[in-house]
Amino acid sequence: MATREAGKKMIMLKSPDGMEFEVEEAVAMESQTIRKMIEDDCADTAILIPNINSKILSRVIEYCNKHVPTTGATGAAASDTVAPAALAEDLKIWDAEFIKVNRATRFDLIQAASYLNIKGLLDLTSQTTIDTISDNSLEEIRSFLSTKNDYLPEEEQTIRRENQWAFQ
Amino acid sequence: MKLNRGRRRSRDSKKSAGNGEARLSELPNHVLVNILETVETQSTKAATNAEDRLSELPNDLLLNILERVSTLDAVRTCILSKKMQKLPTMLSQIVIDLSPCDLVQMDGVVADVTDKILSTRSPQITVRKLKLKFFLVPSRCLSIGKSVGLAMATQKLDAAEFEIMPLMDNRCCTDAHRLLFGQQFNDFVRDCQDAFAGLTRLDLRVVLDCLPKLQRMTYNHWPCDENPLVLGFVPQLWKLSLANANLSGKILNLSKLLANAPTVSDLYLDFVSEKIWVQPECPKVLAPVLAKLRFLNLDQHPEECDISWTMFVLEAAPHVEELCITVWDHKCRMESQKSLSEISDVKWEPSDPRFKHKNLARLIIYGFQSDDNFTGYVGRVIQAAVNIREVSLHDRKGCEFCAEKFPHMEVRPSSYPRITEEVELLRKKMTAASASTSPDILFRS
Repeated sequence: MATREAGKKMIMLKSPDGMEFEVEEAVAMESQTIRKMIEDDCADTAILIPNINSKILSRVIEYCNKHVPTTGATGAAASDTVAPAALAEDLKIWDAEFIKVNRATRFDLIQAASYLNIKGLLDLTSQTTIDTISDNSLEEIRSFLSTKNDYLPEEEQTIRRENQWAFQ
Repeated sequence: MKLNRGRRRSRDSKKSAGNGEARLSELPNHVLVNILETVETQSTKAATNAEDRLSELPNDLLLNILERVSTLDAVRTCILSKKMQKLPTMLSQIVIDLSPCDLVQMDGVVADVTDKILSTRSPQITVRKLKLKFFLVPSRCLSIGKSVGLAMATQKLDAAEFEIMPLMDNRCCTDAHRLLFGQQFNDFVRDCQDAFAGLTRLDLRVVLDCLPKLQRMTYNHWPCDENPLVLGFVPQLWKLSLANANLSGKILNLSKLLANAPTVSDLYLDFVSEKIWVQPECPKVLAPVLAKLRFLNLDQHPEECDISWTMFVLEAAPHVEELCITVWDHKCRMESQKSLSEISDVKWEPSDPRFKHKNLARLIIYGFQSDDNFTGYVGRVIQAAVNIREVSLHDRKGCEFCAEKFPHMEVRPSSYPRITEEVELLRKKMTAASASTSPDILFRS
């Protein structure tokens, strides 16, 4: 269902929960996975994005929309008017706002970024996840990362004994 | 129906109308996120008990996340759950680079964690980078060296770096400390040759950069390829010993090696019965760094190679008093007595046929044979060294382990002179060219 709007080629992305998103081809091609589909001519009609619900897909598109002018070859015109350094700074601030999401959303975004192969988004989500690690106690990290303690009590004792340094 | 990009629509409006969540999702994103976050903070308990999201991620994504922090932080995080516990052994990057202060506190952790990660690793996963910083504490070093050596033998390891620090701040060290550290480092290299052979970078600069009081330095098993020895500020260094088996065939220039150490007066170079790793140089280039040299000892010179090249050092070092050369194929530590490298004569031409040396008083040769290689050499030295007093010529050195390991080696007949006539003939031959000089030529088999 690729259509043209204001001279720009559009691509339809479908989430498994039945939502459809019409996006510029350049925006969709921020995803290396979709880029490959388009280049291989597999994108005549709508592209179904499995495993990524509409909520997450809309956020991913939001991210790509913001990032397309600086990295996308076709959107280069927009970046010409602004100094690259200022643009990068602006993007950084925007990213910081963008990633202020709850943990569940962030983990979903990690998986989406991985599947769609969007390096910038994968870096952003992974880095944000890990930024909570240093200088925090193990229990704090556990709660930040929402990781379930799946040890039996005696197993936990052994772990604590063998890795005392990690619990200090 | 055309839509603005990024805006969602439901294909089934009936279903969406009857579904509260779908209506929720019609809200703009920032509102949605706000709502979701409020819900989460309101039920903190529910959130912490929520399904385990992190460890549910596939391993490659988890590793991608974990490789963004230091290896110790990654290991710490993986302790959180049973499922993640094995992940550290899959890291392709192992970097343990603690501050000296943390290192003091976490004594032993570097060795333990390194061992845990490396010993249970799957050989299929290449270690792209291994970087370890640790103190020169013998037991810890040994543990790290063994783990890394084993990993190098059994796994793919692209790059390995050690940064080794003495336990004491350089400024507080006495010479006795430095001697001890040097000994400990030597032992470490000797005991963990596998690890050192595969090392792509060794950072010992802390030890060698600025050692205003360093006087003696010995570097046995010096893997010169991976670790170009850089002598920094060593104004008091007078004794330098280097042993290098030259497995890579790399040839070094003494003028560069000693550029910052012109104070060396006692130089010991060991060739470990392998290819000569010193390049003869023009006296003009070499003289400035050898101005203080008084004792020169060249050990384990391969038997296959002509020794005449060693004259280039004499030409550049006018104050040398004693020159000792040991020609010896001593290989009982090796698997075979065959050389690992292809040994060939070192090309050397005398820079001045009328060259005279005024200070050389003693020439000592172990492994002397009555062939032209040796007699010609001794003759040349006597001719040049106008003040030479003594020439001591010894038979080949013996080693019972070599004899045991390579019995046929002992069969090679030595041409060392045994009878008086032979000795006299050789004396005459070697002093023939020098009318004025008549040193004592001592045969001490």
